[in-house]
Amino acid sequence: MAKAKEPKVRTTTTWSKAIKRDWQLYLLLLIPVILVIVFNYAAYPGLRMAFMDYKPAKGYAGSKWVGFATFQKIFQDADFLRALKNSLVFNLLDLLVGFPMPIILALMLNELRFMGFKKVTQTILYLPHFLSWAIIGSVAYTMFRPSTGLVNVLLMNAGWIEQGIPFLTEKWHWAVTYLLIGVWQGMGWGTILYLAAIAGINGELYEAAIIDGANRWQKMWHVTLPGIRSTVVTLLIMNLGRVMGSNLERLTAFDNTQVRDFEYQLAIYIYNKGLGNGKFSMGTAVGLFQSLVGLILVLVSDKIAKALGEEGLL
Amino acid sequence: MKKNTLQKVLATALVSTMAMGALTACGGEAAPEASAPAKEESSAASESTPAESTPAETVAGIEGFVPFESTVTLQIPIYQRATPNGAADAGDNYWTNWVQENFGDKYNIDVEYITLDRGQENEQYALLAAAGKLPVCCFEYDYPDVTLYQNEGYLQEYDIDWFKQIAPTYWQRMVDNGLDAYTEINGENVLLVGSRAYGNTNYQFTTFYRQDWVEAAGFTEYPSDPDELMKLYAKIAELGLGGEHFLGGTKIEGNGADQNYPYRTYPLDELTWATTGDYVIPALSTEAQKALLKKQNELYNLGYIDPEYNTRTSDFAVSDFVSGQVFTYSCYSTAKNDVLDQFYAANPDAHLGIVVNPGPMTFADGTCTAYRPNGDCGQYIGFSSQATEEQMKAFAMYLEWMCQDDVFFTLKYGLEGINFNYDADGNPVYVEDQTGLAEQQGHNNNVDMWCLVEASAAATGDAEKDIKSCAPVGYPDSDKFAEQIWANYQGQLACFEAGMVAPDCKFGVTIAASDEYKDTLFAKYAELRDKIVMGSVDDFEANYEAASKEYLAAGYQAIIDEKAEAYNSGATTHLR
Repeated sequence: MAKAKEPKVRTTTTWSKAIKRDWQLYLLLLIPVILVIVFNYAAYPGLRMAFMDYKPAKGYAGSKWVGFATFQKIFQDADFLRALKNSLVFNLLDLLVGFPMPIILALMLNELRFMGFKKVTQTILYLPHFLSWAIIGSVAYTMFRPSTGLVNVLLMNAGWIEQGIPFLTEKWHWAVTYLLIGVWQGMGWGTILYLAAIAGINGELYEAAIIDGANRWQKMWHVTLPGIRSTVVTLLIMNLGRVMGSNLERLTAFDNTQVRDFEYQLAIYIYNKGLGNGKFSMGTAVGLFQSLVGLILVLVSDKIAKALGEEGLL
Repeated sequence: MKKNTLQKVLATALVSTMAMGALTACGGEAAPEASAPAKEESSAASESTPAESTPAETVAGIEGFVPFESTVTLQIPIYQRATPNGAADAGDNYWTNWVQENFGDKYNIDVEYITLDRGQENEQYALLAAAGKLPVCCFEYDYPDVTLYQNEGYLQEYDIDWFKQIAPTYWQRMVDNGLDAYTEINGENVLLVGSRAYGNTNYQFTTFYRQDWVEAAGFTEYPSDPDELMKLYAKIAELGLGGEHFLGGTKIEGNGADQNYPYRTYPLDELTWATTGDYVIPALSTEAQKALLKKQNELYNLGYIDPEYNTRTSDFAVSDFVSGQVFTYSCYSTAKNDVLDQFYAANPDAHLGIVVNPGPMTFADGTCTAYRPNGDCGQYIGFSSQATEEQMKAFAMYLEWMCQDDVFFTLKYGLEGINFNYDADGNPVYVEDQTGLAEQQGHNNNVDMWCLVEASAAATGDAEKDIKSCAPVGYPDSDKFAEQIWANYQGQLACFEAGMVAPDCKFGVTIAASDEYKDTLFAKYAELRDKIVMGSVDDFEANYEAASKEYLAAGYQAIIDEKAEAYNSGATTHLR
């Protein structure tokens, strides 16, 4: 008996066919790709400024190459070391305090059953993300002034304190206030990815857990959290890459001379010594240093995540 | 249209728009390296059309001006400031159009005003330079900043004979005012200098005080003697006049912070004056600054200064004064003063006075009545290194045109019957409130436009008339204001003539350390001086010493050393 010929099934698609079939999707993908190329890669030639004594009016052709002299100067600068220390400490603290909050909040929101209340709560939580740091800073100063700020006035009127608490005018108080306001501003918006990840968890897992007698807490612990673990790890790796960064707007909004010991971070250093003074070489050199350290941190954390059995980022 | 087709069309349109938008963002002007050097480019152009494109070469001055063959774009910076009375955009208004119609159109020049935020010129010039978009000229009131521009390559040299041929009137003004001595930096002729009348004083900067409080405290007038002033403060505190912290206070902002002139020892030591007598970089570590900060520390600890002053912007100085919380308010005086409008509206029974310099006096605490004179120089102006030869000519023509009497008068006073009227003596008097007029003048009667020629409110030659013309008019205390402003001017002039006052030292070479560290030091000064002022009186000495060490190490010592070197090499001005 002749062997029946098995139909040939193609399991792969050539790129030309894929493009022909889904060209609208690829066209849409072009938008972010072009933006990334233009704003992230097209600027790369400008990195040579870090190795030049760049004079804006003379351009690249008229400026001298100085090798690593700018880097040497920066690493010997006491202000840079102060900015570097503060950036690292505050970004790690931000990560420590700020990173778990959206996860906790997302878990809590996921447990809300009354949809109307859930939506209103979510909207209220998202709102701070849309406020500029300038507004947040000025409202915070108005609310937290030691003598005339609303919070201190209320506390004093209630008899809980005798003297105003210098929330933003003494460096240790400032550090706590700065971090907590950062958490408040970002936690609502940060829940979006986690809520999306939670929505993707197979409902049958919850049903199975219920059949097994799991209560709400146990469902959260044994189903929801493991379900979003890869998202958590991915975001953690991405956040680690930002440990060397700092937000100039946020720092400027909470600026005052009595907290500079903590507030002086790399963004301020770059702005003051680079952009503000027309020393683009210095600003670029620090920016390059930040990016390189950020890249190393991402690569290392990705390796660690993979070693621990997670998917990682890359 | 089918849904699928619609989706395709929308997707294509969206992507095309985004791609074009992003690519457009990358385009624009060529970077400096891509553009040919200005001189080479323009000389090539002038070779091809030698006679037509080189106006003003045969007959000197405005008589020799002929229109350019092809339109020349002339970009001129102009300060964009807060305009409380609703003046139009500084770069596009009736008066910029007036310049175009009366100058630009006549000579085929397209005059464009590039607005710069006052106080942020350094940063904005740097960005413009990096983009290859420096205006045709760069200018500055503060001499140290203009040496920075030379050091950074923003300026280009010009030939004085060439300039004299095009702008003989402007050059003659410089010669008449002794300003032609300041054209060189690092041995290159790069500067033109506008004049400033009554530059031995700073008569226009006035401090208003609460005369009604002074009288309530049992004094007749604002005391000149610091000890008497402290007694007055104590009495004000005792009587509870104004707010709890009746001296208010705001954080350090901008050039000229914490000027220590009354705290210096006179006669001045020339080397100390040259190395640390800087307007832009505060002189922390000097004895004069120590005395100044000691007084501030004392006032702070007495509770007279707001304990949170370091978080308060200059807006608070206005609101505190208007709401009757503080004793004084300082500003440049003009006939119309919005703050006084608000003050008298909110405090109809209050009376104000102007602090008067009593002439040369030294007091028991070692302070004196010295002050910082404005100096004879108005704007320091340089041709930008990115300007072409035609643009340089157009700018020289612009300066010459602007200093013609009729043009300068119109730019300064505006139109008769609209911006000013003649008084009984035939003197122009500004219309106080020009709000809503199309012809409304900008900040301080368009000073930012005509300051290239002269940075003086009035300079008719009649000192009393000129000085009094900046006194606020139409207020309950206006009669006294005019007399007090005049008396203050006379007191200041007496100090100057007594040798108690000296303009800041000018350097004919760039001080590289100053350019390198000035912004860093300014930020550091604000931080350190607040630590000193807000510290306890007992800790003052230790705090000052520690702060001085940190400040010197952060670059101030390098500046002092470099300035001393320049001074010793003879590259500086000298005391009289």
